[in-house]
Amino acid sequence: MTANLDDTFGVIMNRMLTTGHAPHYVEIAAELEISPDEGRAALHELFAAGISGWLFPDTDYIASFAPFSNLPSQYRITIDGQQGWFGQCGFESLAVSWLTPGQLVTIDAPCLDCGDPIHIEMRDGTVIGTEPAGLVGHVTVPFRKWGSQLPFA
Amino acid sequence: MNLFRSEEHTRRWSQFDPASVEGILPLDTLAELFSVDHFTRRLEPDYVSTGLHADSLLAALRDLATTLPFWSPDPP
Repeated sequence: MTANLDDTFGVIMNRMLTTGHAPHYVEIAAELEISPDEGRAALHELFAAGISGWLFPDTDYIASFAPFSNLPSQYRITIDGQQGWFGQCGFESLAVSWLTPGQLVTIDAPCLDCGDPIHIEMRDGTVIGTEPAGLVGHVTVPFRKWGSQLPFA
Repeated sequence: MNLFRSEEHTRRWSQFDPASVEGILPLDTLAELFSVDHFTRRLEPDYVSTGLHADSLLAALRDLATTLPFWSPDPP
């Protein structure tokens, strides 16, 4: 039995969204009612399909699954008052609120230059407040190279 | 892909590469870029089979690249 890529994606996304953590492939298999080996195959097939995420090198562990990171990053995400998520990067952190309709999403991070705090409040994709004003984002790698250097972009 | 308190902070960052100066965008511009279907439709049950709505992101990037070629998704 082969898992549907949409279903595999949905299991991981829903788990990340509800708990802040990615499932192991055995857990993916259980939710999809397939064998553990089929779950592992489904995991690798999904990541090979070009989604915005990656596995920890040479393992079956999900490291990043946009817009979330399964490893702690400097982008701490709070949803409806609960801090339990990390953003894949500063940019993807801005997309989290699309997954939580009507809820307040805050992003807290240190500025990489000075360490002083950055605070962003969003709801339904709209920035409703920042501290300080005048925040910017920066990427070192041109978009056309993101595919090969995504973790370093 | 990082956030900074200002453009000045970005330029002062020890790892800042001057060749990436066009990679600096105001937060509101970034929020708009990250509001296309590729990002907003991730909970839909056919998200992967629709191609991740990548066309929406490519279109937004091509629009941005008209003034900032750094953001072009196409080969130079």
